[in-house]
Amino acid sequence: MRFAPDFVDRVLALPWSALPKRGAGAIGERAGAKGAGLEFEEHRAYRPGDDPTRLDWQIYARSRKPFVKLQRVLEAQRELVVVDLSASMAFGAEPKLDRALRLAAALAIALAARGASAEIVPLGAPASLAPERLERLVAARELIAALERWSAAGDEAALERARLRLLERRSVARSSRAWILSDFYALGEWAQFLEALRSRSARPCLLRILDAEERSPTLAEPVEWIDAETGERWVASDPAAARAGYAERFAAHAERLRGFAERHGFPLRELVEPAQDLPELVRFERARGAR
Amino acid sequence: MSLAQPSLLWLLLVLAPLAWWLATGAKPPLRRAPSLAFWPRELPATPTPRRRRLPFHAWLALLAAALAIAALSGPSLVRERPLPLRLWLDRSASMGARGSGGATRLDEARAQLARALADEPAETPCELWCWPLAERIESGDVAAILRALERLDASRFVGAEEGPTSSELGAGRLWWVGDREPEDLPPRAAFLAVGEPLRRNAGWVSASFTAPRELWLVVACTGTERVELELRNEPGARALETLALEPGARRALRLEVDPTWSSLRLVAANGADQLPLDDELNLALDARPLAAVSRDLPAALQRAFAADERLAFGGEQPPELLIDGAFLPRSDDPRCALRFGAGAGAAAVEDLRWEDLERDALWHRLAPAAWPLRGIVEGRAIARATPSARSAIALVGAELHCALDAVELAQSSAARAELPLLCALLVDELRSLLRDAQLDRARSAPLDLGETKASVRGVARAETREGRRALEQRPFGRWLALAAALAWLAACAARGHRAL
Repeated sequence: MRFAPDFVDRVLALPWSALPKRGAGAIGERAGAKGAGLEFEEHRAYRPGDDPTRLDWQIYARSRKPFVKLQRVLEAQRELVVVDLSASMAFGAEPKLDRALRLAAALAIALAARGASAEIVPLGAPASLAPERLERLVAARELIAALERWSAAGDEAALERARLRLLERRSVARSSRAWILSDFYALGEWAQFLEALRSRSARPCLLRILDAEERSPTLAEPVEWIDAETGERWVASDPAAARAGYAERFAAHAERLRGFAERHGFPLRELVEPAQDLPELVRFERARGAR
Repeated sequence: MSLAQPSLLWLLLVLAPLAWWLATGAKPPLRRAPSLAFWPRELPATPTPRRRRLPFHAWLALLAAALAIAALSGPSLVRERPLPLRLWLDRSASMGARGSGGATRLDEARAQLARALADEPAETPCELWCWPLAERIESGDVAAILRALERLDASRFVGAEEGPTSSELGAGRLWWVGDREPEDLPPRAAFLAVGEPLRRNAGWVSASFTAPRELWLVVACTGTERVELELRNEPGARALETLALEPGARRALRLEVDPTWSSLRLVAANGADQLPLDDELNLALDARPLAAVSRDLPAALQRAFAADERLAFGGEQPPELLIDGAFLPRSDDPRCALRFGAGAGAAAVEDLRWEDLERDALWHRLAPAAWPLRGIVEGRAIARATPSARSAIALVGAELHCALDAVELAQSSAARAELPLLCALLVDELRSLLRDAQLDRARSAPLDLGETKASVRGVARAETREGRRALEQRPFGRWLALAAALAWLAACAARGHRAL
């Protein structure tokens, strides 16, 4: 069972203060999205081409001069939470997928509590698994029940197809931020996807979820490894050399990921300890909101 | 701990090569990795080194196998518990006799039992039974038995001829405490003798009997000490005769009886103790020999009878019966009969005719075809089967002669060679028969044995202290089997965990 019975209450008790209530849209624009609203901003003199329905007839009656009301479009904040469902996410004493789904659900609940909405998108999942959207807090338990059924079984090819499909979704263009929860192993493919996301106005925030054994594997005797995604096998006949090589490559990969994120201004946080996942997420989000 | 099938433990040796195989021959464990991207797969392929130590799940599997083998060998815990003890205490009248110290034999039995029970575990289940009424007095622990012993005194019952039944003796340990060891006591019983060993003597103090017209009396000293007897008349109590008998001696006495005497009394006069009667009395009131053999008999039969001098015991007195001939009846079967000549009891013999013999004797049992050459019908059986001693004697004689004839008819040199031995056997049979018949007659005499002394054998036997405790076994093989199953499950679980 991934979610504790009091998971929603625990999430709501966390200090999510950095999350805005409503995002500010462009002045004078209407939002067609559900939940959008208008708020008076200022008056200005009527210009040809202005919508006559915006004329302030009370000012016109007093001054006999046409003024139009400029209004700010209030648009409900929409954020995207992308969860990697590739088979590698099943690794760990506490599977990384469980931790990722708990983080995704916590983000969605926190956003819904402030009037925003979140869409949790499975990446690399079978077609039968649909994205889950949370707009009202009362639907949080249905969201959790749905996330309980998700499992990690996809391979790299399925992940790539899912990434492409996601970029084609309209909801990506409407989302202000995209949370990416993954282990980011195939960095090249992830880099292309993240750049494409940013070009569609969804600012990526990267949450790298790792297991302690994954970061520093114990290897005291020869072991035959099997790749969780490809099924490929390899015998580490020399444990010492294998550990050294692994540590070197893993550190290089982490460094490349950090460099990529800094270059593109993508916030990145590495989560290793399951018990610290939610506090780390809150700190991460508060830092992002303050910035 | 004991094992029902310890040989199965040899199967443990199979585990050694199995452990070696697991340690050296198995493949490296398989583990899932989230990705092989970071592993240096370009490392030169080196041969997989064989493991030198067993993985944890292999240890568990070996433990399961060892436990299963141990369970198959049928182990059981052995616990000692005291065997139940049944005490038989002789409460017959003789146990009331006082020894030289003034204490009765029952007191001595109490003290001896207290000493013996002091070595017993307190929780030993005990039962106290008393003889000769075969009643259970108390059952419980050692302390309860000791308390019950204090309440007992000697009864006025004489000893019984029949011993306790096997159910009364119980199945556990058995102690018999008394002044005489029963003959049919099982070997597992321990006899605790009490009382001072008594002299073996004629076995009685006095005997009264109705005065016959003419008294013929035979007394025999079967004991180990000299006995002096007095024959007195009643009324008057005058000593008529005095007999002194050495051990093993036999004396015959003939006495003319005064018609005024109503009864006679034979008294052991050499200071017998005053024990009440609880033993057997052997007495014969007839001095005449029951049978004698005429010289007209066939030589083989004469030799056979002459081989036993006691056939004519009674000394100079004429026998009651005289066997003076043997006949072969007119029959295809080689049957025979004895003819009794006139003797001192000629009047009785005169009535014994061939027809009587034929009627009294069980002739059909005498056909040699029905029994082998040596298969002489046992004398005691004949005595029981025949209505009187007379016919029994006739029967045995007939058997003897018939057997001899059968030997002669057989014309077998081997059988002839065995003839002396055969004769000795026959004589022994006849002798025992005559003795039984004599005793039967003695028992039928109207004797008053109220003052007969007991003949007590004081046989001391060291009590055996062995076999006091029983071994109780509690098998626990099923628990080992359960542990083996759990260990196997744990091994499977550990192996599955490693595979992840």
